[in-house]
Amino acid sequence: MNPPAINLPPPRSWRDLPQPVKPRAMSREGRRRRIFALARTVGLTGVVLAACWGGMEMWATLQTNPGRLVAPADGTPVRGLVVRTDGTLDETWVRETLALPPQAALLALDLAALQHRLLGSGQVEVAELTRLLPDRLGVTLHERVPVGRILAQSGDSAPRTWLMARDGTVFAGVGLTPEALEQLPYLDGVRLKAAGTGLAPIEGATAAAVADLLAAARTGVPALARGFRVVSLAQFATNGVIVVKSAAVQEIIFDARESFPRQVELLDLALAKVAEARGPFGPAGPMASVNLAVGGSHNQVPVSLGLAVNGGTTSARRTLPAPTAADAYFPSPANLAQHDL
Amino acid sequence: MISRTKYIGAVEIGTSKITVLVGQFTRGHSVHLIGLGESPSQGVIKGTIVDFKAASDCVHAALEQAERNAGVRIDEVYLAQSGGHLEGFQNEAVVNVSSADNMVSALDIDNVCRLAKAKHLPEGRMVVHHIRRPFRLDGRLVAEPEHLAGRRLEAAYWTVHGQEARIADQIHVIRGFNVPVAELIISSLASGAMMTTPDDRQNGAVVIDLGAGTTDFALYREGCAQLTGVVPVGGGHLTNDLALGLRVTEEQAERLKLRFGRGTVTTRDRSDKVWLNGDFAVGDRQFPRHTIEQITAARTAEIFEVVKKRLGAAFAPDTATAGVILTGGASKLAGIDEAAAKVFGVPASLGEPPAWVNENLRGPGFSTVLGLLHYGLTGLVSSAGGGRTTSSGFFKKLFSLGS
Repeated sequence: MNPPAINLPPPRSWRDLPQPVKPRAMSREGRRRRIFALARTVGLTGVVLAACWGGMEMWATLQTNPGRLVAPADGTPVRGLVVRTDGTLDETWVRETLALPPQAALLALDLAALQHRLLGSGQVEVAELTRLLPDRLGVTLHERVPVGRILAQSGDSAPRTWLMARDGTVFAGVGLTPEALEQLPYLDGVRLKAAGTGLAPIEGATAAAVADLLAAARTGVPALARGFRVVSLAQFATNGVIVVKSAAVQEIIFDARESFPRQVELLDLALAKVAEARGPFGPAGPMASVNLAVGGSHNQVPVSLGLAVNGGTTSARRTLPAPTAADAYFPSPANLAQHDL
Repeated sequence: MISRTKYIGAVEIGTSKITVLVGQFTRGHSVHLIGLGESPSQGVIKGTIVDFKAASDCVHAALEQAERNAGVRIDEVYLAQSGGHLEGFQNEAVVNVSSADNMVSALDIDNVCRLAKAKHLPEGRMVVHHIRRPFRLDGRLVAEPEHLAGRRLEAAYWTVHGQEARIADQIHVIRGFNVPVAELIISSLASGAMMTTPDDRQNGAVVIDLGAGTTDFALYREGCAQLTGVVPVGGGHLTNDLALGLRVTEEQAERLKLRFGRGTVTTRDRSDKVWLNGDFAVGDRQFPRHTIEQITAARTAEIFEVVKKRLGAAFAPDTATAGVILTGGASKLAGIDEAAAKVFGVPASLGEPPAWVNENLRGPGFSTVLGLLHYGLTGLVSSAGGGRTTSSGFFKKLFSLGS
């Protein structure tokens, strides 16, 4: 059993002294501080009371007529779009793709569904939608960069040009100018599959290899790269080579398993050597072939020189059947083999 | 809910000057000294307020200066208490350990503490501090007796009490600035906490804080304060003695004291004279250096004699091996440590604040205010007073007009 507690009155302590003093006994600064403290107390009390009152009002409204709370929020229609993109898509395309019903309320929009619609276009890689209160919808797009063109035909419809991105996504390509499209080589020997109204993505490794090759060529031999017309992937799966047909060389064979910058460097060197061997008065015209996929060390590059188009004295050895015209090797879209889907 | 950051103003209302130091307490773990305010004191004699308006103006000026200096508003004040009205006594109590197995319980401790603190005070007196000494369990010293086995539990307190009106005056001066007084700490304890190490307090030390109007002292032994007191004599009396003895004004006497005063007489050449101003202007005159030293040394020795007498039997040279530690503005007098050593018969030295104290605050005049903040940080107030730790909650702050 616990012993009883001893209850003795403690002696008076200084803490028992009443501390507050009358305002008259205060200095001016003391009075100022007192007023400030009073105002702060009143203000904070007001805020607390207002918050309590607001909470009670909301609670009461939710209990009796919740529609009053929801309706005003849902009622504001979307009055405009604010579109930001790093590519070629514009507000018109976004508006058509979103297909917002007239008088659609901003707060009632299903942003996830709208985002899904935008991402349905392969050209859009990332789409962010934000409500810009009171009445605007913000759309921020990050678009895929096309690497090459694909000419494809579905059924009996007319052939159509598609674009391929680095990740293999195939998309229609909206808003690109003809000049921009002309810069992209055609892709040949690609297996395509239909997916919905579009095409299924190409295998990522294949697309990435093409993108890497073109990027290395644009960096190492920009003048030659501008003349790339067709990139053939027909032997990519079997031999691991990519064949490029260009204006200066009818056929350049790259080994996809080796470093593209190194091969581009060798290509540049080989072209320079050939130009030097031909001399200023030598035969002109495209070379027949440069094979960068032969020889592991890459110390030697087999080069086949074609005949001069304009005739004249030539000492070049024909290793390939001479083309009758350069255009035979630089097919226009009409000359390309069309892919039947 | 404990506030994370609190701005404490340590205030010492001295006879010659008011000192305010602002400390930023963070989560109760660390204190940063962020502001200082000083103001010449008026309306205060020997630590007692005799002119409320004049004292308020000086204190509020120092508080304003400290707040400007710190760039913050002071939340609460720790106030140093001094003056001749402060007295102390020892009170002891014994209880028998109540449990059958003789194990000390929390209730036993509570009972013995209540008994030791329950002492009726005369009308108009009130407690400032209850300083608890170590418990004794069957005669042996124990720091924390709970769960220890024994039969008799003893507790002893040194209770410091003061005159209600004088304490109220000081608190009301601070409240005139609309800042609450959170702690009232006697100057000797504040200075002692700052100038002594735990070893000093364990081995025994006498801390003497020589102010202008009062001399506060505390005797430490066994790790805690055993006895405290205030003598209403200070450095101002040395100045007054010089003014009377040499027939000069107070200002002139103060200058002579600071330049030539000593705690002991060292000048043997009685013809050695010093100039009053040293500028050879009209009115400048010479005084024997020996006479100046004789006057200041006599009063200094007298102060120490009075302190020693007040310590009484509690002080013995062999139980104060850490010696006498001097602090306070008047301890700047040359040779004062020699005078103390001579009177007390133990080594005497000038107090040195800890290394973390800023160079500008290392003077002996700041030891009390530094000690007040040190008390706030270490929470010694609560343990000394046996009280409970207070916390400043949000709603307490919200509905308090005082802060």
